[in-house]
Amino acid sequence: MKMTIAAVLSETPFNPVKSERSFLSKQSGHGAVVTFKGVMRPISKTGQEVATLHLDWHPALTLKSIEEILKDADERFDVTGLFAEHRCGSVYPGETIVLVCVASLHRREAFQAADYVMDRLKTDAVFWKREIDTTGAENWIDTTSRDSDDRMRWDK
Amino acid sequence: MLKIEFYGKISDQFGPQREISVAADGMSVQQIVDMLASETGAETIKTANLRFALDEEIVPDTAIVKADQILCVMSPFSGG
Repeated sequence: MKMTIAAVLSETPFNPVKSERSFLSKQSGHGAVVTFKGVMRPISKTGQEVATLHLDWHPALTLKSIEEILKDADERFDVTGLFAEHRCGSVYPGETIVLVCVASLHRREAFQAADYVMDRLKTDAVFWKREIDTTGAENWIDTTSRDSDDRMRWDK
Repeated sequence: MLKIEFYGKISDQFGPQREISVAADGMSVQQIVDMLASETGAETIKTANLRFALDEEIVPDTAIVKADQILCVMSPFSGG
């Protein structure tokens, strides 16, 4: 069975349905597909209304970091296809920030690999996030302790 | 001249990029950080938990940087 791994960084909004369809068109022999879509929340953790989330990125290292996370997932789980598409630049409430698709022979591996990829993306992907609220004030966003704890689950 | 690019919160203090002169035989990343701190008075750069990349590879602060390279100074990643 041919393994497919692909990562995409997108500066403009993407259509997750179209991306998932493209991923599926490259799969064969799988028995399970797990798709996760992360969407920008309109409210910050401190309760402020958020106008824009800006994801600063590095022109080479960011995509490379996502590809490395997918390769690690491939080594760790018995999956047949891995795909991640991530936004960069300015993102607005309701827009898709990230899409992760995993195909495998059986469901457990697909669920676990998708969970793993998301936990790694939340901590290890090369992004720097800034929230801009409706007054124009900007705040840098740090990784939360929950994100770090989620990431550490996979080191045990 | 060495080109330095700043990413994340550290870019608030140093701007997106700047250029500095380095010795012909190069300098370590740590020496460059110390030089930036003393030139700008922004001592926080020494304790900001920064990561570094040279020509698109993550490197430790002991890496030697030459004038024709691009050094990236990066605040901790905030993830996707």
